[in-house]
Amino acid sequence: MKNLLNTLTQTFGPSGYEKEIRNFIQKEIEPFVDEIHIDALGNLIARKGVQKEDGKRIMISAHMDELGVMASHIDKDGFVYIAFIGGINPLTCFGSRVKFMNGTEGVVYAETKKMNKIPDVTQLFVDVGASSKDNCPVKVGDVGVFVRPFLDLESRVVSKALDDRIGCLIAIETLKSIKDSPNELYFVFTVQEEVGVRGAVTSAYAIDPDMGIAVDVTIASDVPGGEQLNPVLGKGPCVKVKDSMLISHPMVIKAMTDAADRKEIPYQMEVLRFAGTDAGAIQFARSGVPSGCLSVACRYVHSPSEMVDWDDVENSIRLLTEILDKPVIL
Amino acid sequence: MEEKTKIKEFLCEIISLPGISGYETPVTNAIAKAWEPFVDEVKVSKIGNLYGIKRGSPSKDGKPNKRLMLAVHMDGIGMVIAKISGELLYFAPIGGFDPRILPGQFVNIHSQKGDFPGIIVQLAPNLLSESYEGKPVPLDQLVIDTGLEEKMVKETFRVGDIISYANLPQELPTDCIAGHSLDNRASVAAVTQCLTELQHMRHSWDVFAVGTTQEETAFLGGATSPFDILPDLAIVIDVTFAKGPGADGWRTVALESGVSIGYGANLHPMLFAEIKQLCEQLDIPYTLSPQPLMSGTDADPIQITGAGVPTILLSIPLRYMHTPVEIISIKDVMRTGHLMAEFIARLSPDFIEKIVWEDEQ
Amino acid sequence: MNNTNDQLIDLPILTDEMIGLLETLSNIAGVSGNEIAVRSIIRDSIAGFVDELHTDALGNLIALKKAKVEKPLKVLIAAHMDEVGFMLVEKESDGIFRFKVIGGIDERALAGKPVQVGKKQKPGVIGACPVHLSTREERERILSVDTLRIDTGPGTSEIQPGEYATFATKFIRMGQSVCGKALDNRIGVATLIELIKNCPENIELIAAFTAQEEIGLRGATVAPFRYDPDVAFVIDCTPANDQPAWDQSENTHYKTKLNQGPAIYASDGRTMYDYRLIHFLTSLCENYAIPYQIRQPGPGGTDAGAIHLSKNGIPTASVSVPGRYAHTAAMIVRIADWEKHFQLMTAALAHLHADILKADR
Repeated sequence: MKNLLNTLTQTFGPSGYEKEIRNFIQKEIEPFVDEIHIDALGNLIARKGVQKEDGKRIMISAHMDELGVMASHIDKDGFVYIAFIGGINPLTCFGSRVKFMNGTEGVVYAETKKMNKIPDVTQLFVDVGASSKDNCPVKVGDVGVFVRPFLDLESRVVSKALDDRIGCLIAIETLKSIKDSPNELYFVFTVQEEVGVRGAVTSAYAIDPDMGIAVDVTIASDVPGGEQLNPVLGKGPCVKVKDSMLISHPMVIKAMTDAADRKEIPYQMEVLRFAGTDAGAIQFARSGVPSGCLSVACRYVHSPSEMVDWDDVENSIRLLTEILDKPVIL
Repeated sequence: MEEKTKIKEFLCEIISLPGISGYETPVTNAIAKAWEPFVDEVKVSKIGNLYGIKRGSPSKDGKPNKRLMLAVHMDGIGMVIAKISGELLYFAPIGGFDPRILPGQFVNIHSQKGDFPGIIVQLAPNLLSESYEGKPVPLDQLVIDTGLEEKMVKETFRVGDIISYANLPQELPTDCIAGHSLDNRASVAAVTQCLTELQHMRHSWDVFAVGTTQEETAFLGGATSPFDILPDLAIVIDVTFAKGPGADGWRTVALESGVSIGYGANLHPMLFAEIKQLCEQLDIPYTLSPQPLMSGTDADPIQITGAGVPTILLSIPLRYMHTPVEIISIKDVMRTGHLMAEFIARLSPDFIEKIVWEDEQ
Repeated sequence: MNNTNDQLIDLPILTDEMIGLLETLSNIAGVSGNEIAVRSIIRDSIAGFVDELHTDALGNLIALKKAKVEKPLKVLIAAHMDEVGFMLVEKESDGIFRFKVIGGIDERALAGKPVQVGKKQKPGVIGACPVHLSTREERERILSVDTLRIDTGPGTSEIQPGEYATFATKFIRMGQSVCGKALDNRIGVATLIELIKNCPENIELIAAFTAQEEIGLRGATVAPFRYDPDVAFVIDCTPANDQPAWDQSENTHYKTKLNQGPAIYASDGRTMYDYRLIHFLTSLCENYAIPYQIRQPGPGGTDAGAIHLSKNGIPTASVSVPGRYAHTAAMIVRIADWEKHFQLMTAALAHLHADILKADR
C-alpha cells in the first residue's frame, strides 16, 4: 500500500492538468468498479454497486489535483516567472524544485533584494538553466509541480501532494475492500479542488447523491507553535464538524461516529476555523446534499513535505469501508 | 385572541429556541407546527429546508399553477466547541460575530448529555497570546466556563458540540421585542401572518413558504430550495439595519417605519415597482433600501439558481443585528405579512408573463 | 486544427461600421443591474439574424441561432454587456448625492470626472473638497468614495436616489487606437453581434449578452442553463499593463501587451482553462498567422468562471482584447488587436468541431 501511495504522490497532476494521475488511478480501480467515466472537467467518476432497498446513493470524493505553478513570463535572461496554482506559502518555495509537464526541472528562488520580508509570488522565479529567453524550454502557460520524493518513516509518511493523494489512496483501498454494500457508491476523483473545489461542483451536480463524503487532509495541531485545534497525528481519522465552507450534516457525522464505535476505530472530532474541502461544494448540488468529511490529520499542509500517520491512514480505510458498507440513516 | 398577540407569542416562542445554522431542527419543528393548519402540505428537504405548501385555486385552463416562493431563513448565528482545554471550552463561530459583544454572555451548550449553561469569558492578560490591553480579545481566545470540574467537562462535552445564546425574549413597550435570532425569526413570523391572512383570501398561484437553512454561513438553503420548488417568482424576507446608536445613513431605515423594499441588481426592477405601487395603493408604510451590489440575503443565491428567478426583497427594520438583544417592532412584522398576502391575492395566472423589462415594452 | 484538410477561410476585416457600432455602445450607459439601454441596441442589431431571442430574470439577452444540420455542436459565446459605474444612494441636498461604486473602480480615479446620470444621461460631476480647504493630513489620504459626491447641480429635483451613473467620456479615435468608457466589454458585444450575423451553418450558436459580470459573473451563472451548450467561448477585454517600470527594470507582470493580438487565457482567478481549446485556438492563430498572446496567469477572471461550472461542466475558453486603463473613465485599445481578435473568433467558429472535445482532458 505504501508503494501505491508512493506512486500516487509522485505522479504529475496540478489543478487543471490531471490527465496523468487520472490515467494511473483509472487503471488501478477499473477491475473493481461497475462503471467508469470522465466528465467535461476531467473528473474520474466510478460507480460501484446499485442502490438496494435500504441503500443510498453516496458520493465519495477525493481530489487528485495537487498544488503547482504556471509560467507567467520568461525574462530576457531565461528566468521563468510564475503564478501559483492553489494556495502556496512562498516561504515553502525557496530552493525547492519544480518540474514542468515537458520534463524541464528548475530551482525556485526570489529576487534577493526583496527577500528581507516574505516575498510575493510575483517576485518568485524558476531557474531552468537557460541563458536567454530564446533557449528557455518553458513557455508562458506551461504548468509544473513541486519535486520532492516520498519518504517512509515507518509509522509516518512524508511527501509532496499527500494533500490529497492520501485521500485518493483511502478511496482506492476502500473501493477495493467493499464487497456487498446496500449503497450505490460513486467514487469521484475530482479535479481542481486546490483552486476552488471546482471538480466537485460539476460531478456532484451530475450524480445528485443522497449523501456526500469528502476524504481530505486537515491541519494537525501537534507541532511546535501549532494551531489551537483538536486533531493530532495518530489519534485516528477526523470527523469534520465544520470548516469555513461546510457545516457537516449532523446525520452524516452520526453515521461516521456510529461506524467508528461499531468497529472500535479511534477517531477525533474536527472543527476548523478556515479552509474547505470538496464537501463544501457537494452540499450545494441541486436541492442540497447532506455532506461531511473524513479528514486525515496532516502536518505541514501545502508544503512540499506533508506528513501523516500511517495508523490514521489504515484506520481511515477501515472507517470509510464500515460507513459505506452499511445502510445510512439521514 | 388578537392576531397581533398571537404572532407576538409565536415569535417569542421561536426566539427562545436554538436554531443554529446546520442545526435548525428545534426551530424548524416549531415553525412547521405553526404553519401546518394554514397549508396543504409540510415537507422538510434533504438538507433541512422547510416547505409549507398552500395550493392556489385550480386554474380554469388546466395548466399547472404558477409558483411563488416566500423565502425566510430560519437559522441564527451560534458557536461550536473547537477544543477542550482543562475546564475551559474554546469555540469557533457559526456565522458572523462581533467578538467585542461576547464577554459576559450566557450561552447554552447542547452536548450529547443534554443542555448545560455556560458563560463566555476573557482570560487574564497573561494567559493570552499577547496581553490585548485596551484591545478586544480575539474570538479564538475567548473561552466558555461551565462551572464544571475538568473530569466532568471531559465526560460531558465533545469537540463539535453546538452552542447557542441563552437570552430569553423581552417584551418592550409599544409592541417592540428584544432577543436573539430576531434575525430572521421576525420574518418567519411575517410569513406566518401572511399565511394566516391567506386563509380568508382566494389566490391562483401556489404559495411555497420556505424556511431556509444555513443562510448565515453559506446561503445553503437559499441556493438549494429553488431546485425543489422551481419557482416562477421569489420573495425573500429578511431584516435590515434600523437606525440606532452609530447606525445612520443610507443603509439604515427607522424602526417601525414599515416594510423596506430592496432595489438594485439583485432584485427585479419591474417587480420592485409593482410592490412599491401596491404599498401606495394599500397605504402600507414602506421605505426603500438601495442594494447597489448584492443584498447579502437569500436573494443572492435564489436569483441565480437554474435559469434565473425574478426576485423581490422585503426587509423588516431591526436594531443591534447579530447581538443577543436585537430589537424589532411587531407592527413592521404585521405590515410585511399583510403586504405579502395582498400581493398574493392579486397575482393573476399570467402575472409573470406581463412582467417585461422596460426595453421590451 | 485537428483536421488538416480544413480549408482556410477568408478572414473578415474590421469595418468602419463596426467601429461606429462600438462608438454607440461605448457612449451609452449600462451599469451592472441596469443594462437596459445596451440590451435595446443589441436587440435591434441582431433581431433579424436569430431564431430565438429572450431576456431572462437577470436581464441577460440570450439569442439562439439554429444550425442547418442534424445534431449540431452547440456553442455558447458570451460577452458581458454591463459596465462599472455608480448608484446614487442618498440625497444630501439639492442635486448633491452620496453614491456607491458598482464594480471594481480604483477610488483614486474618481474625483473631478464628469458623469452622466440616469436614463436620460443627465450631466453631473464627481466633486471633492477643494485642496485649499483640505488639511495636510487629508491631502495624504486618498479621496475615498465616502468623501466624494455626485453633483447634478441645483434645481435637478427630478433626480432621485436609485439612479445609476457612469463616466461621461465620449468615444474618440486616437491614431491606431480607440478610446472610450466601457470598451470593457462593449468591444466583446460588438464582436459577438458580428459573429452572430456570419455564423457557420453547422453550428447552433447560443449568443449570451450577459448582465452583471462586473459584480460577480451573475448573469453568466444562469445564462447556460436553458440550452445546455457543448462548449463555450467568452469574449471580453483584459488589462494591458505593458508600460515601462519606473526604474527601467524588465516588466515581468503586464498581464497582456498591446499590439500582440488576442489574449488567450490559460488560467485566472476563477478558471483553469480547457487546454484542448487553448491548443485549438493557438493552432488556428499559427495556421492563419494571427498574432496571439497567452494572458499571464494570475488573479481576475471572466464569465468563464461561472460558465464552466454550469450543470455537469462545460469546456470553456476565454479570448480577450487587450486594453489599457480598464475600469477608469477612459480605456485605450489598439484597433489592430480588436481586428485580430475578431478574426480569431471568426476562424474558431469556422473550424470548431466535436472531435476537439473527444481528446482526453
